[in-house]
Amino acid sequence: MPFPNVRLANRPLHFIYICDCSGSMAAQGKIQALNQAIRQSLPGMAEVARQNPEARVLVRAVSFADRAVWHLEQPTEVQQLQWLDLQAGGITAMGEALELVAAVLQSPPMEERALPPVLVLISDGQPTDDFDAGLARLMREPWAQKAVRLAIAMGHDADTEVLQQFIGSDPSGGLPAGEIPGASGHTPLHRSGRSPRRPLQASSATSLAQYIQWASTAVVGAASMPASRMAGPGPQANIPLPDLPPTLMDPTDDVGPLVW
Amino acid sequence: MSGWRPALQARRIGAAHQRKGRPCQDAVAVSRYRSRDGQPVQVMAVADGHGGEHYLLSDVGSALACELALQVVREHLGLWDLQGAQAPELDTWVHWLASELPQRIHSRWLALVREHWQQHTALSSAPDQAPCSEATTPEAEVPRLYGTTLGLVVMAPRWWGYTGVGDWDLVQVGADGQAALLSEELAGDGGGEATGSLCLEQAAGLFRSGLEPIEHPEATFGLLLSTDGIRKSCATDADFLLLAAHLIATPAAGASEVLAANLDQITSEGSGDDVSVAMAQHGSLFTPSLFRPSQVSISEETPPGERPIQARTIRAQKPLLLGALLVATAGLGAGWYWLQQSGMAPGPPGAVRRQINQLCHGPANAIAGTLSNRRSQFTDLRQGRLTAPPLQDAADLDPLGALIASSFDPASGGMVQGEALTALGLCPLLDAALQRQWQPPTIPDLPER
Repeated sequence: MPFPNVRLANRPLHFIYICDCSGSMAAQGKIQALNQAIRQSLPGMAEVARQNPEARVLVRAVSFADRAVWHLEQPTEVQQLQWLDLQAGGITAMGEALELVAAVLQSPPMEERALPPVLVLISDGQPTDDFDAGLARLMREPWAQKAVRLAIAMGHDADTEVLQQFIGSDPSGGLPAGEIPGASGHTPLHRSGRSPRRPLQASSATSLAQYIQWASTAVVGAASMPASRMAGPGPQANIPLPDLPPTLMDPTDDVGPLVW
Repeated sequence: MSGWRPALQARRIGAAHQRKGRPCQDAVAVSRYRSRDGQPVQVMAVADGHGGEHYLLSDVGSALACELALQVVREHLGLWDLQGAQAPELDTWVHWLASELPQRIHSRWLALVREHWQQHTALSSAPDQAPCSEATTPEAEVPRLYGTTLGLVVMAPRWWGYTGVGDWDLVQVGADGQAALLSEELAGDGGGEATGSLCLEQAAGLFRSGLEPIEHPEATFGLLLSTDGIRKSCATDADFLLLAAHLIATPAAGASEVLAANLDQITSEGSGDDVSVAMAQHGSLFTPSLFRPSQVSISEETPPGERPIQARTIRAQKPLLLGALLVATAGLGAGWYWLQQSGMAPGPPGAVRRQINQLCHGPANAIAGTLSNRRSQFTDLRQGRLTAPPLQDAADLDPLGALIASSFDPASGGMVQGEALTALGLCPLLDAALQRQWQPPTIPDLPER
C-alpha cells in the first residue's frame, strides 16, 4: 500500500531582524558592528539549521530610518543568505517597521504549520514615529503573539521602555527595564539584571556580537524543536528560551569602560 | 459486518527526539470492555507529554494518563447498562463525557503523579544514586513535571463519544473515504506551542467533548485519534485529512509494521515530533480483514470466548509449550553448566544487551519513562496473561520486551534475583528502575479473568 500523495513538510521558522538604521547608528561604529555581528553569526545559524532538519530556517530583515523598508524581503534559507550591509542615516521609524513585519505575519502568507517566528528588534535610540500604533498593529497578528520577541539595546541611549513593550512583560518579575542590579538599592548586586525577557544591553561590538550569535543559534535551536507547554501562565516564554551568554561588557559581569 | 472492529494503535518516537536521545513522550492505548449488561465497548486514548526541561517526567505523565483514562472508563461502564430500560439516556452520557469523566480523570491523574513523584524522589535520593536535579520542586509544581495532553474516544454499540484536553486531533473517515476533522484544539492566547494540559489546575474545565449517536447499526465509518505530531507534519489540513484516510485503510497483513513505517516516514519528513495514532472502524469500511485481533491491547477485558486470537492460540498450545519449555530448560541448564565450566556468565542475547547499553548510557530520566510505557507487559507477565519465552524469542523485534521478560521470575512473580540478575549485567539505574516496576504497581493490576 504506497504512501499517499500528501505533502509532508518540515516546519518553516521565520527569523526576522528589525534593525535601527537611524543616523545615530553611524556614530561610534555601531552600524558596522551590527553588520559584522550579523554576518559573523550566519555560519553558526546555518549549522543549527543543519542540525534541525525538521525546521526550515528562513531569514528576513527590515531596516528603519526615515522610513521602514525591507532590507531582505524574501524569506531566505540561511544557507543561501549573503548579508548586504545596512547603511545608517535618518530618523527612527520603528513603529512603521513593526507594521511592515505585521503584514508578513498574516496568514497567508504565513504557513499554517509554521513554528513560532523569532523577531529580533535592534535599536540604539527612541522611535520618532507612532510606535504604539505600530506595536498594536503587530500584536493584532496571532503569529506576532506567538513569536519569540527579543530586543537588543545598542548603547545606553536606547529606549528600553519601548523595547520592553515590544518584548512584552517579563513574567519572572525581574528588574525594571534598564535598571542595573544594585543601583537602586532595592535589588541585590548578585541578582542578574539580564533576561531574554528584557532588552539585552549591548554596550560594545563584542557584546552585540554575542547577543546576535545567541539569538541566531541558541534561540533558533530552541525554536526549531520547541516542546509543547501548558497554556496559561507558565515558567517560560512562548518557547523555553536558552540561557544568555556571558558578556564581558555587561554591567553585572564587568566594570570596564562602556564603548557605546 | 456491523459494529465496532478492534482498534489499532501505533506510536513512534519522533525523528528529532531520537536524534537528540530524548525519550518518546507520547503514549497510546486501546482496550475493549463490557458494560454492566454485557455490551461491548471499545476505548482508545492518546497522550502527548510536553517534553522539555520544565516537564521532565512528561513521558511518565502521558503513559499514566492513557492507562488511567481506560481504567476510569472501564469502572464506570461496569456500573451501567447500555441497552434496555436501565440504560441512561444519551444526555447522561453527554454529561459524563463533558464533566464527570474529565473531573475524575484529572483528580486521579493528579493523585497518581504525586504518588509517582514520591517514589521517584525516594529512588533518586538513594545513597547510590546521583542527586535528582528536580528534587527541590515545590509540591504544588509537581504535576507540571508530568504535563501531558489526553485524548479519549469511547465507542459503544449505539453511540460514540470523545473527550480530552490539549492539542490532539480526531478525524472521522466516511464510507466514501472522505475525512473530516471532528475535534481540534482552538488556538488560545497562550502563544507558541501552548496547549491545554492535565497539569493545569483548571484542566477539567478545558476538556472538549462530544457524542454522536449511531442511528444505523450498518453505518460505516472510521475514527482516527492522533497526537499533534502527525498534523504538524503535514503541509496543510487537507494533507492531514488525506493522510488520516490512508492510515485508517491500513491493510490487515502486517498492519503494525506498515503503520510503524508510515509513522516513521511522517516524523522524519515532517515535524520530527513523536507521533501516535489510535483508530477504529464501525462496520466494513474497507476490507473485511482490515484489523488484526492481535493488535488489541492485551489488557482488554472480554469474556473467555472472545479473547484475542493471539491469547487463545497461546493457551491452546500450552501442553506443547510446556514440553518445549522442558526441553529448552534442559538445554539451557546444560548450556549454563558449560558456561560455568568455561568461567563465563550466561549473558542476555545481543539485542537485549544492546537495549541495556542504550538505556544505561542514555539520559537517566529516560529509563523510568521507557519502562512505564511497557507497564502492560509487566502487569501481564505478573498476572500470567503473558509468558516470558515468546517475548525473549522476539528479542530482535522487541528488545525491550525481551529485557522485561528476562528480568521476570515467574516463581516469585517479581524480578529475578541472585545469579540471574547478575547475568543480566544491568547498570544500577536500570536495576533500580526495573525493581520499581516489578513492585506493586501505582495503578492496581487488572483483576484476573
